[in-house]
Amino acid sequence: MVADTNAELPSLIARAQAGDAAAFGELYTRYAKFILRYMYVRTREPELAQDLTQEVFIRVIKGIGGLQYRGEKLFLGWLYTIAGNVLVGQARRRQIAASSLDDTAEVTDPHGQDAVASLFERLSLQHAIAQLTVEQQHVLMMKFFGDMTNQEIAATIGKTEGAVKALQHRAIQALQQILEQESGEQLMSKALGSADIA
Amino acid sequence: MIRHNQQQIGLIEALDIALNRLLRGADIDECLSLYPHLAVELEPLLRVAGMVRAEMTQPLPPEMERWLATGAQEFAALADQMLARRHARRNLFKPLRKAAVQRVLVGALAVTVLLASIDTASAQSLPGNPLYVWKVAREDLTLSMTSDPVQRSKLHVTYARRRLLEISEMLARNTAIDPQALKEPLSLLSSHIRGAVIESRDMDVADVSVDVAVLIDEVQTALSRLASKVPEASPLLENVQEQINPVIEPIASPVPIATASPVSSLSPTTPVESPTTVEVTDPETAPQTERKPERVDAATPIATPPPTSRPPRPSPTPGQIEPTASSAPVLTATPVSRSPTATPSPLVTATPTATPTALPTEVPPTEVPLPTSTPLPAATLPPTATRIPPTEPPSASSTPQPPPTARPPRPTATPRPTATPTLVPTATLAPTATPTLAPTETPAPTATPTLAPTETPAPTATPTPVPTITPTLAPTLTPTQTPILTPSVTPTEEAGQPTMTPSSSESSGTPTPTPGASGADDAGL
Repeated sequence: MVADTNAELPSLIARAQAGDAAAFGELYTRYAKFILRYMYVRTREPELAQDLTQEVFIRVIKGIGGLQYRGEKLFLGWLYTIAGNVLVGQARRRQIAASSLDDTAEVTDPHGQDAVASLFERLSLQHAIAQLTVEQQHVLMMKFFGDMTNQEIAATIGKTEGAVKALQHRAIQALQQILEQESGEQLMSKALGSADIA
Repeated sequence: MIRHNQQQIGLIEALDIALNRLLRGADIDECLSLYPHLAVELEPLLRVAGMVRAEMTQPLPPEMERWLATGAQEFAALADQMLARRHARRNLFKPLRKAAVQRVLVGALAVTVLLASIDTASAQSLPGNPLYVWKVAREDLTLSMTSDPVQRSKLHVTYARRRLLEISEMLARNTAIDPQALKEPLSLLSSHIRGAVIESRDMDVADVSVDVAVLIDEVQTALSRLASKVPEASPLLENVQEQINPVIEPIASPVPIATASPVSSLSPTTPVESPTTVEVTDPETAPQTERKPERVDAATPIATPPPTSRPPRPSPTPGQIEPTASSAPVLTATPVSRSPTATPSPLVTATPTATPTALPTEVPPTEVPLPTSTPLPAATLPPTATRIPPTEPPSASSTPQPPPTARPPRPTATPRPTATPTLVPTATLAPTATPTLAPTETPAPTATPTLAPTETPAPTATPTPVPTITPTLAPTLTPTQTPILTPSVTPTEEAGQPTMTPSSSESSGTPTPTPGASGADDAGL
């Protein structure tokens, strides 16, 4: 997604670390779209995603002083880690996933049954991801969203490659179980609903 | 279990490889075809992964893409605020730090300058001035921080001198001084004197002890001056004297000796008593009364005489003997200082008159002899002999007429010496000293003949007496002579006296004899 060939990034980060406001503006211009999309993918709420994106970059201002530059991918992984933490905090505060899932239960999709089904799938997936551990969420996001290798993920979260592989396996397995459970409940409720109508 | 673990590990590895292929665009079936034996386990996982991948690749809605520009502006504004705050904090603390350091430095400098100026100003302060407290406190602090006794003694001397200067300054500034104003400096003065003496007592540092001795003399002078100028302060001065006397006596002892003679010499009426002043030679007991006058006259001589006079003392231990022993040394000491300044000669003349009774014991020896007699005895007699015997012979020689009068006493004394003869036997053991003394004494015999007749026939009866007389003088001086005399004397003298002799004989040392004689004199007195 992002090529690690940017030679300006180290100096840009150095300037930001020195308190240069323009450097922060430059970093925002370069990487805000990744974080915004990430937030939107995770929340599906444009305004919330925007707010959370701003929050991520505010945390960047606060925390960039302690960053040690080791490549653009790792810098991006650092940004995703912040974003994941912001999401976790947000989820705790508002229990986004649960509420959104409850809300969506009442959604009536004007585009037909398939669209409704895909929407349910999507919301179920978001809800399932939110139920993973923080580490599992980080690994999945970096792998699927950040397009990072196991080695880069391991360097970012401070684990071994084997640990990263195990984490992604357990994360996907957990998602599958959660989705199976939720789909089973939905099927059950559908079946119950059709029975009532009949 | 192991097989299960291996299968699990295989599944994890297979999933990882299949995921990487899936993310590169391969479909699920392709991935599963790589691991047909794990297809059952991998398929649901790869389907979930496909869902996640599909979810993550969702593009941003166009309105959100457009928002990015707005978001950048908002963030820039937020960043500016945050950074400005951060700068403000830093800038707030920087000058604070600078200012704090500067303030501390300026404060330290100001305190140093203030203390230095206070110190300088306090040096000129006098009792009653607020800075005087600082001055005294600083001295106390310096003293408490000094552990070396020599330095402490020097500091005490210095501070005592400061107090003296302060007192003299007060006297110079104000004629009517409130005695209470003198209380503090006098109290400090006495404590510093005590400190100086006590610190220097156990030391062998000459300059310190001399310093202390000079200081004591200065103090005495100053106190007497103060007493004359501010009579109301006499209770305070007495108090100071009481405080310092116990410690300065050992040091001041020489002073009284030297002064005693002048005092006595100045008062012709006291020739008889002047010998009693010999008591002064026992400075430990009664220096106070005599001291004041003494100091005024003779301060310097004090130093030299005492050392010379002291050494001889130790030998004549017997209590009775002390007076004579002390008087003897006094003679040697005083002459040096006195002869030129004071009027020793008058004394000499005086003593003879009074002497008939007293002479034998004290007066002649102490002061008179040396000036006049020194020439005669000094030449012939060795220094040791001059002390005791010379006292009388010289007097005789110097004042031919008086001697006769003086002689009588000797005869009187002789009887006692006769007692000593009995002792002689014991003395015989120490003949070494006799030779020296005997010759010295011999002159005395010449005089004795004349005297002997006057008082006691016994001496006259003793042709031998000539020698016997010498014993009286010498016996006291040296038992050595006694050997010769003893035979002759013993017959002449009473048997009762032997009791006395033993005591003197005990002191058998050649010097002791003199005490014996003196003791006889004392008894006569």
